[in-house]
Amino acid sequence: MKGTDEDVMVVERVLEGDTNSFEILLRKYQDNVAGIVAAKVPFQSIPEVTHDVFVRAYKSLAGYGCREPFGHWLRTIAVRTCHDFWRVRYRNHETPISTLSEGTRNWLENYQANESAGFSRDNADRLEVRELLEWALDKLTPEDRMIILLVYFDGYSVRETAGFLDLSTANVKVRAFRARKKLRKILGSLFP
Amino acid sequence: MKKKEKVESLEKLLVAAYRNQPRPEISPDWYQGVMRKIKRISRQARQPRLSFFERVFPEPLLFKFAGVSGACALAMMVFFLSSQGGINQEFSRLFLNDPLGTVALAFLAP
Repeated sequence: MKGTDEDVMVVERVLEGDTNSFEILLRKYQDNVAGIVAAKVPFQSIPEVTHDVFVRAYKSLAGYGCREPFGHWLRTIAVRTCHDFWRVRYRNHETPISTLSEGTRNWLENYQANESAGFSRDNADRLEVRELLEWALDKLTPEDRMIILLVYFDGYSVRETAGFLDLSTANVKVRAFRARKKLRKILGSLFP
Repeated sequence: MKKKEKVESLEKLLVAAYRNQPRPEISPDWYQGVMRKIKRISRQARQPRLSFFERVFPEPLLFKFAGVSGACALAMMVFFLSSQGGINQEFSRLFLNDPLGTVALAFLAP
């Protein structure tokens, strides 16, 4: 997702009033942005949030100082847009998955009963595991959700995460530790 | 397997599930939707921003009113200066030292 001089030229053209040139950036980075968004918002909201990322990027294009690759700058906008998405949801108390479906509960019972159950690629691709992931993340605050996803799930450094969310590194470190503890407690509650 | 190990194993499973999230197919309509929105924003940004007063009283209307009120003021001034006064102006000129009779007019029409 490295920005090039070509990106800078396109940005300059857009800023000079050639709005159509923005489509070049849209087509080039759509996959990367959708990839970031897809992992952080519900499946049905991916197109809408990806759309918002590009609109937000266009609106703040004048603030892109070319100090970093365009892709990095866009990634920060994508992460912040996902964060805002959850903040609005949290404020409106919209929790799409408040309880687990019967299928997921059955899968979990089997998982609990099976002593040798552990990590396997087949398990990771299961719909039930994705539902369980959403269920557990829904129990966290939007900040904890984003920090845990960025630090532990995506593997970004504390410094990078602090940059994405405009927080201090010390704050991210403490929050990430606490959020992981919370997540483990939530997962632990599934095992009597 | 202990509870702690089970939780750790489940956590690993969730991380793997997170990394394998499916992505929806982006349709051509989606691109058009983004570009439409961006062009609309661009158009709005190019239009000069009018203040509340400018929006309520567009310039041509304001100039028309200014012309009409100026003409009225001129006509009234000519009328007062040209009229050789009625009894009120004569009284005010004699008793109140008010040759134009404005004090008298103020009394008559407060």
